[in-house]
Amino acid sequence: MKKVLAILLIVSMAISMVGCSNENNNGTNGGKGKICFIATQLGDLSFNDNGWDGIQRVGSKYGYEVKVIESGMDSSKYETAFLDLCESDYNYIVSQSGNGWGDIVFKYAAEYPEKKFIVFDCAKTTTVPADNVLCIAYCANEGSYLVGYVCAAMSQTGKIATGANRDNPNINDFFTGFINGALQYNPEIKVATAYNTVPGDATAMGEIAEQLFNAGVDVMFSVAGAAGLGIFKSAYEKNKLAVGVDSDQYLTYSNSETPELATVIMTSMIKNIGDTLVSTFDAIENGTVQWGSLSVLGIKEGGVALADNENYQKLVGEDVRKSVNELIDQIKNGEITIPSYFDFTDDAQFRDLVNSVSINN
Amino acid sequence: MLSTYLSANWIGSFLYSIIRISTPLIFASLGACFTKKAGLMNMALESMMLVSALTGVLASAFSQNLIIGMLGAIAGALAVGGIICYCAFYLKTDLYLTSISMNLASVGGTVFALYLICGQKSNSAGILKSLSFPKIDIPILQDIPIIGTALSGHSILTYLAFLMVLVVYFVLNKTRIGLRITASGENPNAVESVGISVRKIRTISFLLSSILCGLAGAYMSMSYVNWFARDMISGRGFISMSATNISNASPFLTCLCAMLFGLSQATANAMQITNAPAELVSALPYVATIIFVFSFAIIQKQRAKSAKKKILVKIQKEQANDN
Repeated sequence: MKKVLAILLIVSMAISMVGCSNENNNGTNGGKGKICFIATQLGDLSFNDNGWDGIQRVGSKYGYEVKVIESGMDSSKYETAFLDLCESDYNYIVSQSGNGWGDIVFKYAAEYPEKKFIVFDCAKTTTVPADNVLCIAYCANEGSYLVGYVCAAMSQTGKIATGANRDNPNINDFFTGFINGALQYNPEIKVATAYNTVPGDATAMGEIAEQLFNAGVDVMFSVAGAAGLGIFKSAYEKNKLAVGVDSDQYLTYSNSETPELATVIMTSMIKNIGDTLVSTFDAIENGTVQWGSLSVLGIKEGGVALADNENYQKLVGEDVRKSVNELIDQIKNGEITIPSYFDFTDDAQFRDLVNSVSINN
Repeated sequence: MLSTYLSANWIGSFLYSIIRISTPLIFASLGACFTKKAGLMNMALESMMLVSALTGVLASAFSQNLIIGMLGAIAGALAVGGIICYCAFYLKTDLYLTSISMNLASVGGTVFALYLICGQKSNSAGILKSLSFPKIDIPILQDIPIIGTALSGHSILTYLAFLMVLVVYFVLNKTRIGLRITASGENPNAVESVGISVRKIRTISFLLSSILCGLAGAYMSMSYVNWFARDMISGRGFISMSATNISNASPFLTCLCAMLFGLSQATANAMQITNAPAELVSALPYVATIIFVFSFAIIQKQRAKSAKKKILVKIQKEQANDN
């Protein structure tokens, strides 16, 4: 009888392993080397998928063998998994900085000098710890500034909101840009910022979105990856507007089986993770790459952008789009600098900013 | 500041969201009532809900029929319940270990199945065109302010959940099988002595429990949202289990407890608007669980004490009378 239980336990563990860390082997084997891409989970139609898409393009462009490892959301398992990867024959290990991955890479990178590590979506204040590490930071504040401007322009009630999964510096950089962009359009604007009660859970995010919509918010910016689906669904049901994140989520959903969700996504703040990873490998191939450095990619460098698609042109008025384009030019020319979370001397200053525009005032 | 929260519309929608959040908890905790009455804890609520959420989405997507979708969800939960019963009651494995391993297996297993069928590991949104249950506006009631906003316009499954409270009460207290379930929980030896198989009764209680979990799973993926996402149950099974345990498996109290948990979750969501520290707010539903368990335990202890006291006083009185 105990044997049956033992077998059941083994089978269950085996199945959950398959679910957690399913390895994919796409791309060609040109013998140039192997790239390992660490994703938390694919299928978010946003952050992770975008990066993996870029790595696959690198693979077919330069003939690398590429692999994706899905780490899942449980960061307690990351460290051992990462050491296993370092011991295997990958030449490049590409990972995101979020969810604790950055810290783990920085901790062990110096011990594996023969490997190269690329960490994207770092904080802009990151100090690169070793010569075999390349860090990529995105100016999320610049893209969010444009989103904030558009949202404030589209709001009838003067109340807008943004929701994210976690309270961390990278997310708060989004929020800082978003609030400042909204204030740029309307100095009287009220902005609600919310963090998910169950990180990664679309139903919880949807509940929060609905509470915000009930409190008078009529435009909401999703910084929540896959959980943003909850925001889009609530916005669709309540007849409000939403903004996507990381990739052009309007395009993604309009080509899917649930195109009605796409109708509320008036634009998206694109983080060009895939493109920047491709250009990083371009630089590696040309020999122009500087290992041990941090590259900060904003609107000017093509790191972030505002999605310009048919829905954006349909929903957002021409005058607003025109002034957004002017803002983009000003940012590119360096005429205006966008305030960033990393400019604050401490977290309290950010909280003051958030409270000063709170919808409860 | 308070003006936002005191408007009739806001209060109505807040109450509405409590009911919506509570619905899966009510189904699952009512399901757990059957097994609790039979003397066993159903620790596999989580996996029953998760599997049925997936099978419901798949069945409705491929058949484009809601009834088949619902039956698919119930069948998924029954399969989980059936496996557990077979292992635990017929092969004599440990029930709780089996349930825990089932919970673990379902987390990976559902993602595995989702990947095989959709080629996606995160969720089925945009890939499967699954159906969702219609929302029902109740005539007359919906025109009353606050109450109308709170009670009208819910999914048909939400009304079914409240109906199920009566059904479960009826089945447990007024039918032969319900009384046998209660008896095999309170005194299994007595049940065996009159020639009824406790094993069979307990299996039936688990399967009844599975049916209700199937409805909970169907609600999660076909009404609350209309897609399946990995780990979408995220602890609701365990919260339901504690609702049943706190209320000692009385269907009405169980429903009330489930709604208390719904209230704390809705409060946590609403507090997001107030810029309260996110971590503190996320902990609220779980802190509420501990507080509820704690206070109910105290109440029960006090009750037992006062009952004991009453008996003592009665005995003393009788003795005094005798003298």
